[in-house]
Amino acid sequence: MSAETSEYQEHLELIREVPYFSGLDLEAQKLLAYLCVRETFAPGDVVFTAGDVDQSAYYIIKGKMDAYLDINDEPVQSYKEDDFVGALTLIGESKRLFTLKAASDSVCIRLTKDKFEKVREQYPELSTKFLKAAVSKISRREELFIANYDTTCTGCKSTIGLTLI
Amino acid sequence: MITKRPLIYWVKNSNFKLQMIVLVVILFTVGARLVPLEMQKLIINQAISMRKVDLLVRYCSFYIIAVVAASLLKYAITTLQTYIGQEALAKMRKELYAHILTLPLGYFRKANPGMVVSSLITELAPAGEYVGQSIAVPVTNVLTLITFAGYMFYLNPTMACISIAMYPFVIYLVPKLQKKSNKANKQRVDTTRNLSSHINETISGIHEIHGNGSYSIENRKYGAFVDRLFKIRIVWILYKQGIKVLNNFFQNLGPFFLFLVGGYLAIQGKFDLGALVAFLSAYEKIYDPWKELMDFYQVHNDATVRYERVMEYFDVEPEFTLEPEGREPVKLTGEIDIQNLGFTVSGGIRLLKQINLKLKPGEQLALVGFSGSGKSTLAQCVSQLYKYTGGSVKIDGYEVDELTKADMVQNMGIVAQEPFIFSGSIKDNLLYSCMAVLDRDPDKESKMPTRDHMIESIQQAGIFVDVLRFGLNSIVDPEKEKELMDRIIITRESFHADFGDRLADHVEFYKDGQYLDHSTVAENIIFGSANDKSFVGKQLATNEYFVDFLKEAQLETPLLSLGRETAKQTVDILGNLPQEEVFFEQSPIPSEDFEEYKQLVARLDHSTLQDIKGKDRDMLLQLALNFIPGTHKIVALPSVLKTLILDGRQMFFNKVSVEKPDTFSFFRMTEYIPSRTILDNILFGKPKTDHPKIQDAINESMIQLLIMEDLLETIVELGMGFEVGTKGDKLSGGQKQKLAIARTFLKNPPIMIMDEATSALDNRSQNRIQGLLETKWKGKSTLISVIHRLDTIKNYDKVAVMKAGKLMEIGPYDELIAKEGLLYELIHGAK
Repeated sequence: MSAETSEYQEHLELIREVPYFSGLDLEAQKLLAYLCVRETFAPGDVVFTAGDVDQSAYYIIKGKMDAYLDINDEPVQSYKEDDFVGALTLIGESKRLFTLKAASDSVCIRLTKDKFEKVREQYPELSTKFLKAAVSKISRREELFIANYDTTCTGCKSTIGLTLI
Repeated sequence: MITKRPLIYWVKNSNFKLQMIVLVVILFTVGARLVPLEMQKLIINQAISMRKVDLLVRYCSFYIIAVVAASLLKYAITTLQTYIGQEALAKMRKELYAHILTLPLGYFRKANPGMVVSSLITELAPAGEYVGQSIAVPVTNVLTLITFAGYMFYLNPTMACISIAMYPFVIYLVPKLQKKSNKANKQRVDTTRNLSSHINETISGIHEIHGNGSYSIENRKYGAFVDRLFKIRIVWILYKQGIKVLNNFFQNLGPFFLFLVGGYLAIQGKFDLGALVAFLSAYEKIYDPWKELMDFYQVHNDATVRYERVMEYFDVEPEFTLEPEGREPVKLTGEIDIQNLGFTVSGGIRLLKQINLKLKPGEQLALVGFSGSGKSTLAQCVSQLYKYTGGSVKIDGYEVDELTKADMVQNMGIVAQEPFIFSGSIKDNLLYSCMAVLDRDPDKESKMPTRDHMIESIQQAGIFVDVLRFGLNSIVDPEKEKELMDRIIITRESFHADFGDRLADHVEFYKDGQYLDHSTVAENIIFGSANDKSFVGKQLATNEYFVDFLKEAQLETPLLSLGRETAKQTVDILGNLPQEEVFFEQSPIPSEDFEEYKQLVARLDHSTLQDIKGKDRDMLLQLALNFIPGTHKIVALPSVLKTLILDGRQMFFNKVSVEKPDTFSFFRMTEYIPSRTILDNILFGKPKTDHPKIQDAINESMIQLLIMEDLLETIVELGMGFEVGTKGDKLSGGQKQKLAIARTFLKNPPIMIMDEATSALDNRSQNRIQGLLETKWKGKSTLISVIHRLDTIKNYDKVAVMKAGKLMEIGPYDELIAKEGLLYELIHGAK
């Protein structure tokens, strides 16, 4: 009936593009798309604060968001449309190390850990696919870091070797 | 122990009085069964051959009375044996369950919950049936057999001998066949199991089969299994039927001999005709008890095998006694003394080695260490969850190993790593620990924590706001809570005066002329709530007046279409999932109706909207009327339909104001809306999002207002009635942990064990609880806290660092840091 697309259908299309979920069965993707919730943020709104255990991942549909460290007021990293932020909190229990704030009027979809885990119970292959995607992302990050490695930089020494953990 | 009892124990210990009554009834039954035989003989020999009608009538009357009596008595026996059997079964189930609950934790790591369920529910059932039958069936049938045989001997010993001559053969042959049948049956079970795992494999690899076009290979593999099963089943059925055929054959041979010998004797005049008829009947009648005995033999086999398997499965000794004998549970102050503690599990793996530590009453210990270092295990050994294998743990000088469960729970509160919340209300779960201790106490009513205590504990654990939220989300019964409703209206006014503007972005107020995305379609049309039951809930979609209005406003067809689309999409997504709370939170179809809609969608397949009639139509309309575009994102509500609905709202108001002025109360600032939650009533609208930051802002305003109106405790109390769902499904991980902490705080024991109790909480809650432990409980409760994150351990009296099952260092935080030992390394990383 609807000429208008529902949020669910929009979510489904987005979910299918996210590397963490792209290899899944359509049924699992549908369930994830269904369980996601849309959130809007005004400029300056805090999405999460360092130290939080909010256990949610955000997919930015519209707008721009900045990540801050507690120690200074300059953003250390920016995220824009089609970025998927904070996926690692869906597994494990680590707290946020950054504070994320909306830099403009933003819309994103939010997936919480509780829901993610329920989907994992139903579609166990989600675990392996998710981990594989996470590992390959981390590897790629370090590859890039090594490619641009500056041997004179003293601070870099303690951070290199992330993929050796 | 229950698992050591043989099946016969339950027969001996079944309801003795009833078993005796059964025996008496049996005697009468057997007698009643004999009467018709004698009557038969008399009818033929006396009434018919002497042509006496009065005798015929008299004997026939005796006959019918005996038949009716025998049937009634048989029914009485069945009733009694069912009662005895089910009573024994209920007792078995209860006692086995009580035993299972006391089994060591280690046992459950290996045990499969499915097996526990099937043991208690299906596997024990034949044992109960057997206990019921164990006296009634063999006694009735053996007695009947003996009586009939005796009667036959009384009629003619020679012929009686001939007719019983067959039975020894049967008794010899049947068990042999039964054994073979059992063997085939076992093979059948095994093959079926293999077959189903093979089917499972094929179905999960179906894409590979399609990709390779390997249909014939898979058909061949499957065919091989089916052929094997075919052969085994044939053998099994042949043996099973063979027993029946054999039995039947011997049974039918009887009359052959009887006619041959009896007929000859009758012709010779040595045997009268009536006696021959009675003989034949007696012989026929022997068959029933015989068959029942054979069935009983099978029930006995089946029940014994299953019963023994169940009992073997649970044949494990509990590690601790539940109640102390001849004394009250001890009262402890919480002095803990651990010496040379060791814990070795099967396979010789040593989880704890030579642990020594001492805690004075009220001292607080933080247990830290690498994961797998044994810190949780140590806490669990102290709290008697595991039975340590070496050394000693003494509390106030009592060896923990020798204390009973009752002693421990009196004095100890445990917050487990992953606390379990049971179905029931928040309040039930909050009182769970206290109830368990007070269960046997005669004055438990007066010793139960008060409302203020409960509220204090939920505040301490940091779940207060969540409980308040549950309270705000509850619906008030308009009949009972008149006063509360009035006070909520007052709160509503202050809310709009004080917070209305600030929260306007996040709340959708009930505003006329505007589509409410966070309310149902029905509420958007009615814009109020009905006072007449026939316009409420599921009644609305079938209410003639309302449906006629929908037609008039040209809303019916688009709504049906919306309903159809919603049903199809929802079933497509949720079709094969278990009915868990999380999946149905955002579902337009409530979980309890889901099966019906699933069937409906299957029926709908290709039919057009005009084809859908009757109940199907009502169901689709109902789904559309309950559709909330702000929550149900599966389908988009077309903006055309929204406009139509807004027009409809106006039309409905005009129509109803004239025709049914008192049936509806429309949304007005001055009136309570009985169908909405307390929160919606105060807001006079609905929150647009459940994002935590917005919720916090709303909650804050609510707390202020409710304190002003002196309603806070009332609402929190309502919130404590919130049902948490199975396994606490409706609570988040953090809420569950806080609830578990609250119930331990409420119990206020002299010893507290917290096993990573705050792991799922955010920093703020964690710090608050830590602060409370330091200020409120230090010096009052001995605390052993297993801690994963190290930023909260500074103020503990002692910190113990564990590694690979050993206690490496122990002492105050500053001392250990100054030493630059393991704790230093844990916090600052290896040097």
